[in-house]
Amino acid sequence: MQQIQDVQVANVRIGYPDLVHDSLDPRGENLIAPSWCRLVVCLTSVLLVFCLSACVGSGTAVTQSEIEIVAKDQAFTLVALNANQTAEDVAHVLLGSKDEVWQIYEVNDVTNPAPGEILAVPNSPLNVTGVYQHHYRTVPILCYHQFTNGHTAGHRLEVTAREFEKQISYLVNEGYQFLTFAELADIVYQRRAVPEKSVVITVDDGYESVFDVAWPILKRYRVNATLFVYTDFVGGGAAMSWKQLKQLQDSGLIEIESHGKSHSSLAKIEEDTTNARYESRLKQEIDGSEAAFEKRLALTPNFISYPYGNSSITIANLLEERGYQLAATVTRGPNGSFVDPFLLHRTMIYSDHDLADFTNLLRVNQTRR
Amino acid sequence: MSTTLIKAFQAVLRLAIVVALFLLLWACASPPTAPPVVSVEPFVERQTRSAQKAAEIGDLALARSLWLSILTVDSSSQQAKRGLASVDKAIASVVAANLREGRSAYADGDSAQGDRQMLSVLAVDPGNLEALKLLRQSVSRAAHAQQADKVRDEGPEPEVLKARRLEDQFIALLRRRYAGRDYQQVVELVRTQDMLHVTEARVLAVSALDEMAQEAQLDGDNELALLHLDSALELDQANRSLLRKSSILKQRVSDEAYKNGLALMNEDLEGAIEYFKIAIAYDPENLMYKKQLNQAQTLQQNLEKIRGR
Repeated sequence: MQQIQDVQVANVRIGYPDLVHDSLDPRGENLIAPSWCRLVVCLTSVLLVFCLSACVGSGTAVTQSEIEIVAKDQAFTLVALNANQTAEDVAHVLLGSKDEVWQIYEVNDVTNPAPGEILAVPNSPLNVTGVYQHHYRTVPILCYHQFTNGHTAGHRLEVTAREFEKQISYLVNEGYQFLTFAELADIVYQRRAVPEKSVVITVDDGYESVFDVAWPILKRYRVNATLFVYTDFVGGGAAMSWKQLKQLQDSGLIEIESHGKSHSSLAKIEEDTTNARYESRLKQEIDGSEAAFEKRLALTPNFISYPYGNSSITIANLLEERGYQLAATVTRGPNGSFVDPFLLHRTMIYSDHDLADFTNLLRVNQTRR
Repeated sequence: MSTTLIKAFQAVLRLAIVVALFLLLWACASPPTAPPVVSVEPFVERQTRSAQKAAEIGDLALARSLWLSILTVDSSSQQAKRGLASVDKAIASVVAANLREGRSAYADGDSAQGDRQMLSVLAVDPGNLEALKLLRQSVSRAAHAQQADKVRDEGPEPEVLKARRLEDQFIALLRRRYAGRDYQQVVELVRTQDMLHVTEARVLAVSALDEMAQEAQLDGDNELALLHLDSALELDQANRSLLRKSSILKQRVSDEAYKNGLALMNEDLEGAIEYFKIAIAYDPENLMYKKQLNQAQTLQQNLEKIRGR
C-alpha cells in the first residue's frame, strides 16, 4: 500500500509539474520521489494504458475465437451469440463480411437475436442462383462516360459532379453493396450468392474527367467502380494518362478493364467483307488492348465492355476462348445470376436523369410471372 | 496553512487517480460475462415452426434448409428427418414436372414458358444444373437476338454514342487549330458549328479569345483586346481571371484616354473631348473624367461664342 502511495505521489508530480513546484515542502523531503519510483510509475502507466486500450479494442471487432460454435456439419455452423455480439459480427467472421448478414436472417426467423440465441449460419450460399418463390434477384450495372464540375452538363453522356455525388450518396445511404466485376463474375459463375441490394458502377472510355471529377467522389465514399478503357485513347486529348490509370489501379477501389483498342465496334461492320477479315480485326482489337495493358499496367484484362455496346456470337466466343470472364453491353435489362456472361446488361446514366429517374433504374428484384 | 491545503489537495487527487485507474483496470481485467447457458431447444422449436410454415406456403427450398439446420444440432431428430424427407419428395416432384414441361416448351419454341418452368425448378432446387443450363441457354439466345436487332436498327453506332464521337472529332479539330495558334478559326468553328453547348468546345473558344486579347495588347490595341475579353466573358460570365484582366485593361484604356485628352486640351479641344468620352465609356463612375469633360465642353462652348462674335 505504501508503495502504491509512493507511486501515485510521483505520478501526480509527473502530471502536474507546476503544482509540485509550488507545493514543495521547504525541506524538500517526501514530495520528491526517488528515480526508481518514477520508473515504476512510468511502467505502471504504460501497462495501464495498454490494458485499457486492449479493453477498448476488444469491443470493436469480434474474432473467430470469440465465436461460440455449438454444432457444425456440412451444411451449417450453429453459433450461440455471446454478450455484445450481433448477427453482423457473426457474418463478418464466418461469411467474410457484415454485408452478408442477410444469409443468416434468411434461415433464422429472428429480428434482434439476444445473447444465448442460436443462429444457423450456412457454410455455403443456400440459394446461389437467387431465384425465389415470387422473384429473382438482379444486379444493376450502371454505365457512365464523362463528368463535369460545371453546373450543367455539356451533353447527355456528361454527368455533373453534383448529380454523381447525389447518386453515389443515395446508393451508400440505401445500403447498396458496390460490387467489382470480379465479384460479379463470382455471382454469374455461382461461386457467390446474389446480394439483397447491390450495384456495379462502370465508366467507359477513360476520359480525364473520370480522374478529375468522379474519382474524388468515389474515393470519398470508398466505393468500387470498374473503368473500361480503350487503349488507343489513353494519353490523348481528353483522356487519362497511363500514370493516372495506374494511380486508380493502385487505389484498390478501381478495376481497370478493356474497352477494346480503338473503340471500333466489335460487331460485324461494313468493312468486314469476309468472316476471316472480321475475325482478324477482332483479334487485332483484343491483342492490341491486351498488349498495352500488359506493358503499361502489368495487367491482363478479364472483363470487357463492348464499344457502342455492340457484340456478336463471334466476339463472345472469341472472348471466352481468350479467358475473359464477363463482357458488358449497353442494353438495359436485369442481370440475374443466370445472365449470359458475355452479354451483361447495363443501364446508361444520362445527364437528364434526376434522382427519381436514377432510383427507378435500380432494380434489384425481378418479379417472376 | 496554504501548504497544508495543497498537500491535502494532492493527497485527494492521488487517491482519486489511483481509484479511477484501478477501477478501470479491474473493469477491463474482470473475466468476460460468463456465456449464457445455451439451450438448443428454443432453436429447434423456432426452426421447426419456420420449416413447417415455409413448407405450407410452398417455399420448399427454405423448408429444406431449415430442417437441415435442425439436423446439424440434433442429427437423430426424427421430426427433422421426416420433415426433410417430405420436403425432398415434394421438391423432386416439382423439379421433375417443371423440367419436363420446360423442355417441352423450349422444344415448341415457347422460350418464355420454358424460362418460367426453369425458374420454378431453381426456386425449389437452387443448385439444379440442368435448369440453370437450359435457362442460361434460353436467356443467351434471346440476348443475342436482341443484340442483332440493336445493331441492325441503330447501325454500328447508337445515336447518342455517334453524337459523342462526332463531338470528340470536333474537339480534336479545335485542339489542332488551337495548338497552331489559329485562335480566330477556333472561335469561328465553335460559333458556326453551334457547339457552344459542348463544355470543352466552349472552354477552348474562351481560351482562344483570351489569347487573341493578349495578342492585341501586345500590338498596342487595347480596345480590340477589350472586345475579345468581352466576347470571352459572354461565354463564361463567372470567369474570375477574365473579369480581372478586363477590369485592369479597362482602367488602363481609360487612363490613357484621359491622359491623351489632357495633352490635347490646349491645342485640340475637340480631340480632347473625344478622349475624355472614351475614358468615361470605360470608367463611367470616374468623377474626375466627367469633370474634365465638362470643363473641356464649357471651354469649347465659350470659344465658339467668342468666335461667333
